[in-house]
Amino acid sequence: MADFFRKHSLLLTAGLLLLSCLQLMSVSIRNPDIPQFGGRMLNAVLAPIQGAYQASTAWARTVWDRYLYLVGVEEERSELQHRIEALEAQNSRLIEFESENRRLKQLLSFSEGTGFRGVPSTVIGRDPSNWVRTITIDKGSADGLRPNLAVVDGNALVGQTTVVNQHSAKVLLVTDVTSAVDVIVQGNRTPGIVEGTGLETLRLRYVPKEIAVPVGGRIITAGLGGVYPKGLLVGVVTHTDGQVSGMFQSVEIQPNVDLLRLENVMVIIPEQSAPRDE
Amino acid sequence: MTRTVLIFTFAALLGLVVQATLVHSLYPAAIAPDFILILVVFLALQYGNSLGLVGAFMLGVAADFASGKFLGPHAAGCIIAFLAVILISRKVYADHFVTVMFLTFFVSIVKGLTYMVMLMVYVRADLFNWQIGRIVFMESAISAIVAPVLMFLLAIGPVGSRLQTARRGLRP
Repeated sequence: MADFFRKHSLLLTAGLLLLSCLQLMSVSIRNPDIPQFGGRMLNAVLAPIQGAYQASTAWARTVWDRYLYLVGVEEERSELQHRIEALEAQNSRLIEFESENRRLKQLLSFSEGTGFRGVPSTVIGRDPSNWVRTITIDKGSADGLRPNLAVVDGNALVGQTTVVNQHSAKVLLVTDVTSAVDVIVQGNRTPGIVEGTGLETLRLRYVPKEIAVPVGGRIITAGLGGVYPKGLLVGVVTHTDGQVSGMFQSVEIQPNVDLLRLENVMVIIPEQSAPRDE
Repeated sequence: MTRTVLIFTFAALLGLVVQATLVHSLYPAAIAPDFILILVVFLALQYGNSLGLVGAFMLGVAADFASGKFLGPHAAGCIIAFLAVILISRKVYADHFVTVMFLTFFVSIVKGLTYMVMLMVYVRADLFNWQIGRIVFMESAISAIVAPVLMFLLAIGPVGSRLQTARRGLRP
């Protein structure tokens, strides 16, 4: 018996460890806090290194661009002079538009207070795995962040916060396979759920075949579920297929922001949960 | 022993930082080589026993923690990859750098598929498509190119010298 165990110790260990993996997976799906706790610990080690690397590359880029790489600066200066003149002319027109806009807003009783505040953040890292779509940002619980806050770039949805450390946080991108967002098609108000594909595109699900979803149609958040505010732009419909089997059609969406090249994002915090300024 | 564990821990952390930061800053859409898998292949070639297998499992769990989403898929992939390396290295001469490249490429595909199967079983069944297959292939190819260099660095370091001493039957 002892010989058997000695002879097959590797396979027996592998079997035990594989069973542990299955058990870990089941437990982590039921209790997301467990992987998040480990993630926070590991992130606490990795985030400062990522932040330092990001800062040093930004510094090196600045030095290179401003002081070393000066080829064509004279031509660029002359071109910029022309652009300044054009922009000054444009600016005077924009001032007119601004005052007109202000007047129209007053007429429509537009509320400036949206009930949210934004925390601008810099992207300092990405997920080490090619399978998980997350980014690491340089703001954390010290800035009022907590898990399950919407993250945007302009008015376009980027994802939601998951693991939050004191000075960094992980953001699950909408393209991750585990991401799901309640949405509506802006034109005809058809509800659906946008899921990530693990690639650069999204998929709109649970839209019946009878309902026409136009290519080019804008998909916005529905505001359900308490994570994403209503009206954030998720993406644009690029392809629909009503020939697939089942009750629902297949709709492909292109996110409205290039998630591979994100540099700065904004975390949206509901005003009532934001910490008060000292 | 403690020194070897520390070196592997440091190498794993360094690999995670490089994968998460350096590769994407060079080219945003780049597919990063899987340094954790390369460490697993190295472990399997040098420590092809139960202890090495536990080390591979721990590296996989570290990769799972780095993602902060699920525990298990990377770990399972690392265990299967470790076993695949041992099975293959018993049949072929796995010390040559070309063999190491092919070996890394093959086990990286095995690891990628294991990861996908775990997600398909537990998260969503309709996950796999040809584009995901392309990522598996690309990641495996890039890891295979990087693997000989990284293994050379590991082999000439303290881990390698201790192994050579142990192989010659001398007291380390």
